[in-house]
Amino acid sequence: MTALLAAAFAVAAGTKLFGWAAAPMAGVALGVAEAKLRRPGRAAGAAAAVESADAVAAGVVDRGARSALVVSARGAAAGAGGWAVLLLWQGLDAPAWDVAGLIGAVAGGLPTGLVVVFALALPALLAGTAAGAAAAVWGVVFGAAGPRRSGR
Amino acid sequence: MADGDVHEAPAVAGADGVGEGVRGDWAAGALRRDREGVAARAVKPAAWLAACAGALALAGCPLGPLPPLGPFLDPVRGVWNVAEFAALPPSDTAAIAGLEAEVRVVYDDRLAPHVFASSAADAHRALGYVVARDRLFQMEVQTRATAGTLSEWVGPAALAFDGETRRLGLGAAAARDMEALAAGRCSAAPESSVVGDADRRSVVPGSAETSAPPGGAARLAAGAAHDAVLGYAQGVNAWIGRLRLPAERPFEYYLLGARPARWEPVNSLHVLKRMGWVLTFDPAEVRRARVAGLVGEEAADALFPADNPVQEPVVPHRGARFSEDAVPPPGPGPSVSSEAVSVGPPASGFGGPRARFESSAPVAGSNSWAVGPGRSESGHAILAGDPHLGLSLPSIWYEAHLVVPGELDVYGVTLAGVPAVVIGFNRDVAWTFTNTGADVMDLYLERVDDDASPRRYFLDGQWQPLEARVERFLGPDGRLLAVDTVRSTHRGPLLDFGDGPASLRWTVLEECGELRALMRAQRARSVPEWLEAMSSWGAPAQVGLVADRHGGIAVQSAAHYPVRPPGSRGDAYYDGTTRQSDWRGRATRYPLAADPPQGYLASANQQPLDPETTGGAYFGSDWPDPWRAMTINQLLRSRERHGAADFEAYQTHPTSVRVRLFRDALLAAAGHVPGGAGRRSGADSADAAGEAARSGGRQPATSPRAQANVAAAARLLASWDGTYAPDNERAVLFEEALAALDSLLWDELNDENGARVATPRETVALTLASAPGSPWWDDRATPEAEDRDALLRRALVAGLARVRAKHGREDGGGWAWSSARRFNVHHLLRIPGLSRLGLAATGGPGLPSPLPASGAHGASWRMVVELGDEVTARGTFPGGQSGNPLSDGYDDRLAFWLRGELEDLRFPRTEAELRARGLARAELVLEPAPR
Repeated sequence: MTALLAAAFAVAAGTKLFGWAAAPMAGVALGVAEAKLRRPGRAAGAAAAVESADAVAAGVVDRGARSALVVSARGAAAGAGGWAVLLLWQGLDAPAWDVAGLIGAVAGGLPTGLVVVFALALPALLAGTAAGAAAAVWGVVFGAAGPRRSGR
Repeated sequence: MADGDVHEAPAVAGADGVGEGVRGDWAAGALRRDREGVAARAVKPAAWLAACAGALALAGCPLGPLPPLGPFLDPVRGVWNVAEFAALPPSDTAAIAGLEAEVRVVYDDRLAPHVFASSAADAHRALGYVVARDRLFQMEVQTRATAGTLSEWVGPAALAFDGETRRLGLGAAAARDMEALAAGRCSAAPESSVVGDADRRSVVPGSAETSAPPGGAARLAAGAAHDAVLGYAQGVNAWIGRLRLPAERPFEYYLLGARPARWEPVNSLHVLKRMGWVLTFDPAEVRRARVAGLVGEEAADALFPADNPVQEPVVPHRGARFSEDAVPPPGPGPSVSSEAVSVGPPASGFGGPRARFESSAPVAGSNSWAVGPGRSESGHAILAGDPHLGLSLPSIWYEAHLVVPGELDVYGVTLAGVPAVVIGFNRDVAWTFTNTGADVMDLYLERVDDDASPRRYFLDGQWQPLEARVERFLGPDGRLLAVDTVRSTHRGPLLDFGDGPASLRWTVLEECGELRALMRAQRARSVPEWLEAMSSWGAPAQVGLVADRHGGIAVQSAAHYPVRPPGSRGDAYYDGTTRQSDWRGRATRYPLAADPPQGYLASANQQPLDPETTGGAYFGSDWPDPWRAMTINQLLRSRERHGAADFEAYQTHPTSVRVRLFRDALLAAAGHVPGGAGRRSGADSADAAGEAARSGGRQPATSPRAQANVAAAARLLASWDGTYAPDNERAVLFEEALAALDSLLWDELNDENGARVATPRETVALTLASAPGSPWWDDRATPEAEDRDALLRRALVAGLARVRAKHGREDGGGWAWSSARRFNVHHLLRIPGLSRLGLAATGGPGLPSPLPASGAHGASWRMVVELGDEVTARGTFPGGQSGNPLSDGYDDRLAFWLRGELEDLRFPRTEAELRARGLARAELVLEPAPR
């Protein structure tokens, strides 16, 4: 959780500085870091977290895709979290909820809550996808995508 | 990917002690499997990469009508910033380049800015700033619509519209005007005059007759209008420069994925040209050619006459008058080939604004009236005005008050983009406009050397070169989308409305003195000064109504009109091959009245001059029905004296002269006797009406069932009180009956596909009532030869059937007028979520507050000004000051407008006065920008 929060703030800072595309870029960074951290002996805690997530994902996707999926989920959470941090920040002096209502009106009566969820889902999708891609690429290039395998 | 199979295989093989040959086979197999494994592993990352790239592309590119969602939702630079400018900061400071001294702006409780400047130039700069702050998107979209550059926002989808606009040449005309303004060539009125000028001196009270000292209108420098547009642009650009682009642009820019463009001074002229198009673009020649093709020349002239058969002119003459010697329209003439009346694509390659012709339904209108001291309760002149235009959000008008001590103190509404108050009042004078409706454009059928790509046109026996202008259309990314060559004769642009190449001459493309006229008008201190100020107003032709604090009232048609070849009418194509067809010049023309004996004046788009007074001079044709004018005149005659509150009520008066005229005709045809025989039960009449609906209203009129239908419909219509309040339950029947009458009566004007080519005014139908046996009354779809009464009865029954089909039985509660018609105030981009649709309010055809079927036109501004020792005014418009949908000021006035109420307009002499009354809501200090 701490790592995710830190990642979310990193995404927020990156977005603030570099614009909306910072979310997927940060996702890529997270993916690379994830793949590196999963080498045995370098981040046992991270590996354990992956294991538990693996257990959840087991049976849903094949084991080869699980690593990228988990990393993607983390990137997505970080992206959405970072976006949410910024929206809340903006909301202090600009009623972001009003804008969400406005977008909802333009979109044909979508409720405000749904617009906010949608607004959060977009960076989540971007960051998650990018993080998963980064993890998969890392695995192919360096053979480090799987923690067990990379240990042999 | 733990415990991958690929990596376990070698260890197993080695342990089994397999021989070298086998080991070599195994190695080859392992290598193959490794390669396959790598390939298999590469598939997934490739898929992920593709997903990543796809997600980025989705977020970074517009998808159909959606803007790029990444930047749109960016929490820092995205749409969330729209909220930042939704509310006015209580106190703000900004800098404007070129400002000569500090300007203070105080926003009142209605968000109207009061600009206190030390020079007119600074006032214009400040006006540009405050209008841009509230209406930047509206300003730019109007400009682009006129210049034909909407494709730079939305791409190829706007190419057709942009192409038509550029062929018309509005943008090019604005550019010419800008040069003329710079050279000081826009201040003169034509030397000649046509009608009424001889009377002018006798009816306009001279300044010697009033106590008004000479005002500032006469002192306006020749280059003032040019300076105004330059200063205004400085103000607009100061606001644009203040936006931390791209984060703080108006909401619509986010939706379009666009950014505000720098405001050019010529843009102000674009806005004026666009108003010229809205108010006067009416190619009557095309309509007449179509009608003549169906029913012959004589019938076409009678159906769309140069003089309206019902007169209640702007210039008082004999009161309401139904033409006594009007010749009923002749019967249908020989129909020409269907090709001549086709509404298919134009034959030649360079096209024309066909779509605009087809959509130029006569829905625009306006009201204005004034009483002198002898007819007002207070003993002061009172003026009311409500221009009718397309209703939009943000509204077309923006309220502002400009104060330059000793020079200018004017309040009113300005068009977003124009550095002047267009309709309003100062300390001495109030004024408003209605559309004259005169014919100010002509079409000339040209003979060209090549229909597809003409280079020359034939004139007086010789080929003359066409002037060519290459128009380049760019897309949002700056890429060239299309190129078009626009050609012109010495008269104007070459177009094609489906009748062959025709050149257009139109005063809107030639006049440039409007801004100067407005600037002088807002400085006028008496009626004569105001009338004189309007002398440079060329187009669009407007009827200006003015009243002053000295009790004077006057009405004048402000425009420069074509002087046509003697004896010709401008609503038919001219022969373009001879200069004999050309205009002989342009002239002022003064349908004018001042301080008439009746003590009041009223203008509501009716024919301005009674044809009895014009000696047959052609001024226009197909004049709007005078129902609003007659109703207003009737109201003004109904009482000896009126108050400002009465005027406010008249603006939404719930009935019209039209009701009585047509309802009486329908009931008379039905033989209706109040409470008389022939009444049937509701169930019986419902059955009968249902059958009528199934037969399309074409049952034999003599059948018992048909007679029952007529009686039922007549009884319901007779029970109507004649009003159009939203909850009225009989107006809907009347309107459906008239719609059915329109359909049945003018069936001769349908083309072979059943599409209506053109519909005569209701006054023409009324004229026909005096000829019950006219062949026009015959419904060609039936074997019988119907007369007037038969057709009216049929219309009545068909109307009842239609109402029941749409709204159920009359006692079912579904007949409320508001269930049939409501106002629709669309956002400029026609986004429902930003529009206010389906609004119930009093209004209807022929009423002072019109409500067309679309609901999208109506009173765009309502104002009542009483010119006492202190000027008091009330007004409102259907929207609000702000263009920001998140602002309280986006639509805060709509509720007043719907209720028919006006609001007090604040008219302080100083900002301190506004503060002392507790009406100051926010302030803005504008300072000179450092050089």
